Amino acid sequence: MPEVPEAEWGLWATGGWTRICGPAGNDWAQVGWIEFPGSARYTFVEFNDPDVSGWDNYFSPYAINSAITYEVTYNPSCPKATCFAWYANGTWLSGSKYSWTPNQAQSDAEIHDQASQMPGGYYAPSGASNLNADAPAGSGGSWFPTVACDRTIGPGRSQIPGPSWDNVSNYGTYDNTSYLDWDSACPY
Amino acid sequence: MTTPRISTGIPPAHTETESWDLGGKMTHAPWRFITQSPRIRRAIWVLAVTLAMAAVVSCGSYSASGNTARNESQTTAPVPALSAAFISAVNSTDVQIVTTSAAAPVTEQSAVAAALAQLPPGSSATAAGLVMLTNAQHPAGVLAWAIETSPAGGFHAASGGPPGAAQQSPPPRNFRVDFVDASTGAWLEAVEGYSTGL
Repeated sequence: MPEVPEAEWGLWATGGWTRICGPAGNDWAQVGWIEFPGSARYTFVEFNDPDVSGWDNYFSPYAINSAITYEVTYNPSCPKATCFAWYANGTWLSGSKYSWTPNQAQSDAEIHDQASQMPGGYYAPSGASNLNADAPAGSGGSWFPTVACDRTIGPGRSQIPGPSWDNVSNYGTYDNTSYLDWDSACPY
Repeated sequence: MTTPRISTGIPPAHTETESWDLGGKMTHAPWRFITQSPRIRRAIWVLAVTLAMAAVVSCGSYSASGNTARNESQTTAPVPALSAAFISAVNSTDVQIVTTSAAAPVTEQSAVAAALAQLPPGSSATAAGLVMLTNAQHPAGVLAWAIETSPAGGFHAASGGPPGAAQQSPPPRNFRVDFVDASTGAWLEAVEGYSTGL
């Protein structure tokens, strides 16, 4: 996922990440990049388990226009501090002692809304490629591609369905491995 | 913010009528000229009020203000110590902190400035303490300043979770801590979370 500069954004944040989720829908563990208003850019980790705890870690960001590999892993041999572990470019960012059993892998981007621009602008978009999940965890697993999620975040931080992802790369070449963060208001 | 009350030793009001002939009558002493001239008294008042307000803004606030705050060192005053409830809240996340009285090469004021430099303009620091921080990157612990901060615009979780989540809004957050290496002054990371004890 490339880091991109902030585009039009005045409400909350813009970013992209990969995550694994639990069957309840309220459990997730994710890692990616984010930019809040005021040019507050971070590499971030988020863990959510309403039954026990939830938090966000913010670390120094990678350079704009760099391509970063984000990874989140689940180790069923818990409890340890590494039930979940988050990595960016191979660096271990954080680990969680809390646990739930994931059953989904997703990659996602959240942008402003459909009336404004995608992060980075038309000629400097953000996106993701080589989205893969390995299950079951540990040895013996095999990689398979995942499907990027479609979503935008609108005013009031409500979730509004919209095509924040599109499987288009190279400005129009269709493939199934690269995804750009598109806003439906922007032509391509 | 309330208007600061100041005292300059100059009468607050000037009611007597005076005639000042600066070109010819230099019979008054210079000090009387300074203290009794309405124009100069007014100028002194304006200057005093301006200086007092500038002092309040620069010394009495720990907040980052202005568009350049993120990249500038800031003058900060000591902030209160971390509360037990706050330390407990931080320890419910993926990091662990234990307060310590060890000597720190980096001052609290410098650490607060380093923390605020990571936040949007208008953010503030509300408490600080020297701790041993243990996290994934420092499993053996690192001496760090823990700065309780309040981001401009409030606390926010980074994500609202997966599509279709039963929870249709981002999970709540009500605290943030920024860690600054107490030996080098480098900002290490921040953690935001939620605690019913705060």
